[in-house]
Amino acid sequence: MTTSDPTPTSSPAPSRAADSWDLLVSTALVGTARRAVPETPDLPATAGTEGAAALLDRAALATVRRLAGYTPARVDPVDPDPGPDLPEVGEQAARRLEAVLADRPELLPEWLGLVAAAGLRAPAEHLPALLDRGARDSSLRSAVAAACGSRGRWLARFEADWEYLLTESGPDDVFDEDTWLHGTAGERRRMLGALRAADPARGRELLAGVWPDLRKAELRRRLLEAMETGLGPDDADLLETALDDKGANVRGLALSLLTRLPHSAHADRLRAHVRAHAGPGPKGTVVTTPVEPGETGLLRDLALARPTGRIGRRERAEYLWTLVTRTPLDVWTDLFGTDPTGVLKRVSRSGDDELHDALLNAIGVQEDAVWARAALGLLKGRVTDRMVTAARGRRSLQLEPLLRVLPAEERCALVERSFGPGTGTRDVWSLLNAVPGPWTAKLAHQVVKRLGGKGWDHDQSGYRSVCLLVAERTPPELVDDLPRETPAPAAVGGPGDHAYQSLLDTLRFRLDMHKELV
Amino acid sequence: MSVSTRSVLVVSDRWSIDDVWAVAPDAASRKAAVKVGKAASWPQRGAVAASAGGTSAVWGECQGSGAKPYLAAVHLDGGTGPAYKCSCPSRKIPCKHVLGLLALWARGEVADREDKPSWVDSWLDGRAARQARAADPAKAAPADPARAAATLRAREEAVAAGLAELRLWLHDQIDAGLAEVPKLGYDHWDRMAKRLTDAKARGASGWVSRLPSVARQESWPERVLEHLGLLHLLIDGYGAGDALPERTRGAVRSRVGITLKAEEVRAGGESVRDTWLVLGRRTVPGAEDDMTGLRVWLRGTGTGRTALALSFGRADQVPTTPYRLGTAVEADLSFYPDGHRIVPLPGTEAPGPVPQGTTVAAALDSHAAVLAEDPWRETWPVVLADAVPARDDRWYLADPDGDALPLAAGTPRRLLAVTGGRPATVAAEWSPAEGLTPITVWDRTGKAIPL
Repeated sequence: MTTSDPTPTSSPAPSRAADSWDLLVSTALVGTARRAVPETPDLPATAGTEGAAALLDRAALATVRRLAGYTPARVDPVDPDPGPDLPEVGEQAARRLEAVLADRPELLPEWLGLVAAAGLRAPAEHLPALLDRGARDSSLRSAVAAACGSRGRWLARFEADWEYLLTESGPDDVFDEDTWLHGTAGERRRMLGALRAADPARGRELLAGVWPDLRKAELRRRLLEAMETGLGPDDADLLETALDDKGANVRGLALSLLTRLPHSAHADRLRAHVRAHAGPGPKGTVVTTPVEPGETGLLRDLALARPTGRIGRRERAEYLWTLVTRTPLDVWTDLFGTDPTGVLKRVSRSGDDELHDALLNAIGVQEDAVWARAALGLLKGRVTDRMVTAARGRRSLQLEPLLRVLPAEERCALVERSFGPGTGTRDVWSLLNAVPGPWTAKLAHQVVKRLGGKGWDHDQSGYRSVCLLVAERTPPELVDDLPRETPAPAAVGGPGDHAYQSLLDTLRFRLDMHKELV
Repeated sequence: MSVSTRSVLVVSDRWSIDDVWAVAPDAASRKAAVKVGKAASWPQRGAVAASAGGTSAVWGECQGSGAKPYLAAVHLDGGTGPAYKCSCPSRKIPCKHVLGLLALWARGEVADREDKPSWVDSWLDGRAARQARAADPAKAAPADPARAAATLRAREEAVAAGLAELRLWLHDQIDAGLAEVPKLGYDHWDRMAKRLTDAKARGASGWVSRLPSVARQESWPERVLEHLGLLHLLIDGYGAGDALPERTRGAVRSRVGITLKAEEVRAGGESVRDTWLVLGRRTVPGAEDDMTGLRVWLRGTGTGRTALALSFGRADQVPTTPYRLGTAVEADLSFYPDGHRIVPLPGTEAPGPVPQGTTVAAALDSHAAVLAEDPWRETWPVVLADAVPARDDRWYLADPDGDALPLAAGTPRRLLAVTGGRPATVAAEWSPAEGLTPITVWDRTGKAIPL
C-alpha cells in the first residue's frame, strides 16, 4: 500500500472542452468497434491516434485538463457574528469542559451554570458540541443558551437542530419590531419575552392584538410562553381567553400561568368550586363530593376536555386532583377556619389518601413554603416511615417538591433530623435523593458518618448511590474536611472503597472547576 | 542515536483529553476508559520527566477486580509516535487501561516521579535499544544488494506483464462500448483485478476493483470514462519508465503498486532539513477495507515544501503519528520518490506559527502544478488566508476576492463557531471531485484548532 488516494469519482467543473468530452463519452458508450473516435480539435494531440487507445488518451487528457482548470464559484459570505460577545473562559476551564463532555456529563449543568454566573462564555470550538447536547436534552437548553453567548445564538441559525437556542431568552435581548412581525416562531417568542421584560403591558397588548389571527396552536402556545416574563394580575383577561383555546396545550399553559395569579377572577371561581365540592365532615373530617361531567364551567376553568361518554372513578379522581392542585391553598384554611397544619390533620383523619396527596402536590406546584413546612412538620422525623407506608400503598410521597420550596439551610436541617444510625440503608438513599443541592456541610458530614455505619455490606448499590449523591450535591470545598480513608466498614479495596474514593475524586474535580470559573 | 538522546526527539507537552480520545481504537474502549480513568483505580502512578522538559513516559498500576494490578505504560517521546504497553489480556491497542491512564494524566492527576518500578525501566530500555538498532541505516540495508536488485527487476517485469494485459483489457472494454457496464457482475472486474494482484501490481488492481462502485454513481458514463482514461495513462506512464521526470516516475510506481520500505526511503531517498509546520490531519478509510489511514500534512517553513505523513492502523484503531497540530518540527525528513510522501519520523518540536495562506486562485494554481507532476493525485492541501464561510444551497469557503470552493461535507460547524464568520487562516484538503475539506483553523489568538 503506497497511497490512500482513491480515483477522482465525480465531476470536475465544466470547462470549454465540454463538447469534445461529450463526444468522447458517447463514443465510449457505443464502443470504438462500431463508431470512429471523434475529432477533438480543442485537445492537444495524443500518442494514440485511432481506436480505443486514442479515445482513452484523449479522455485522460480532457479529464486532467478539467481537474487542473477548476473554476472557483462566486458566492456571498455569510453575515459574520456582529459581536461583541462575553469573554471566553480560560484555558484551564476549557480543558475542564473537554473532560466533562468526555466523561462526566452529569457535571455539565454545573459547569454551564458557573460559566454564566461568572459572565463568561464557553470556548468557541466547543459550542457545536454544547448545542448538540442541548438539542438532545431540553433540560439543558437554558443553561446552554446562557453559557454560549451571542456567538452561540449566531451559530444556532445554521443548523435546524440548534434552532431551539434562538427561542431561549437572553439577558441582552432587545425588542425589535421587524423580528417580531416577520421572524420565526422562536424568534417572535424571544422578542415578545424581551418586550415583556421591559414593558409587560405593551407586550400583553401586542399579543392580544395578534391573538385572533394566530392560526397555528403551536405558535399560540409558544408566544403565550413569553407571558411568563413579568406575569401580573393585568394579564388574567388574556389568559382567560387562552383558556378557551382549541389547542389543549395552549389551554394547559394558560391554566399554569393563571395558577400563579391567586387574586384573579379565575382563582375566585376555583375557590367557589372547591367550596362546592368539599366541606367539614363528622368528627373533624373532610367530605368531598365528586365532580359531575355536566359541570362545564368547572371543567373549562381547569382546562379539562369535556367528556364524550360516561365517566368513571378514574376521571372523577383526576378532576378532583386538578381542582385541588390549581386552587389557591388559602381556600382550605378559610373553609375550615384553621391553619395549614389543622387542614392537613383534618384530611389525614378522613383517611382520604387521594385528597391528601393532591394537597401535597398543590403545595409543590404553588411553591408555598408555609404549607410545605406544615406538611413536613407533620411527618415529625418519620419521613422515612411515611415513605415506606406510601410505597406499600402504591402511592408516591412527593417529598422532593416539598423540600425544594424551603430555603436550603432549613431543608437540610430538617433532613438531618430525619435519619440516624438506625435508619435502613434504602430509606437513607430515598430520603437523600429527594434533597436538592447544595447540601449544607453539616448534612454532608452526617451522611458520611452514616456511610460508616451498619447495613451497607448488604446494600452495596445503595452505598454507591449515596456516594454519588454526596459527590454531586455537596459544596466541593468540603472535600478537605471529609475523611480521606473510606469510612468503615466498607472494606478497603472493595467496591465500597472505590465508590467513596470516587466521591472524593469528583469533589476535587468540582473544586478545581469552581476555582477556574470564579 | 543512543538512549540518552531519546528525550530530545519530541518534547511531549501534556495532552488534552481530545488527544487522548483521538488514539482510542473505538467508542467502546473510550467508554470503558472513562470508568478506569479515576484516580482511585491507580494507587501507583507516575510520569517520567523528559530531560528537555515535558514528559517522556507515563506509567501506572491499575487496581482491577483481580488480585494482580494491570501494569500500563505509555512511551510518549520515542520513535514514531507514542507506544503503549499493558499487562491486561485485551487485544485493543491502546487498551482501556492505557487510555484511562492517559486521561488521568491529561487532567493533571499524574505527577512527575523520580522513582519508577522495574517493569517500567526494562520496557523503556528495551524500546530505546530497538530504536537505536532501527535508526542505524547500515543495519537496515539489504544483506545482499545484488540479490535485492534481481528481486526488484523480477517484480518490475511481472508488473509490466500485468499492465500489458490490462491495456488490452481496457481496449476491449472501449471497443465493445460501456453501455452495458452497470449490468456487469463483479466477476467481470474481479478477474482483471486478481490478475493484477498476481502480477504484484496491487495499486492498479485497486483501480480496477473500484470500477463497479464508480459505475453506480450518477452520470456514470463520464465517471467510468474518466477512471479508465486515467488508468490507461498510468499504464503509459509505467511504460515510459526512466524517461519520466523523477517525481512523476515515483508517483507512477507507487500508484501501480511498487512499494518502497521506509528503511529504503531513509537510506536512499531525498532528505530535506527544515522546520516543518503541521498543517492538519485527516482520518480516511484505508486503501483496504480493514484499514484506517491518517494523513498529516506538513509544510517546510524554509523550503515551502509540502510533505505528507501517512500512517495506517486496523480499522478499529486511530493510526498514530509523531506530529501534533499547533507545532512545528525541526527534522531531516526523507521523501519518497513522488516528492511529497515522507517517512514519519519525530524531530524537535516547538510551538508552530500560523501558516502563510493564499487566495483561492493561488491554491488552485498550486493544485494544477502538482497535477502536472502527478495527474492521478486526488487530494492536495491548501492554506487559504482570510477565508470566510459562504453559502447558497451548499457551503463554500471564500477568499477576499470572492472566489469560493465548495465544501465536501455539510455545515462547517466548528469553523463557524471559532471564526464567527470572520476571515481566518484555514488549512484544507482540496479535491475537485469531492470538494474542500477544512482540517484546521487558526483562531484570533493564533491557536490551531482541528476541524
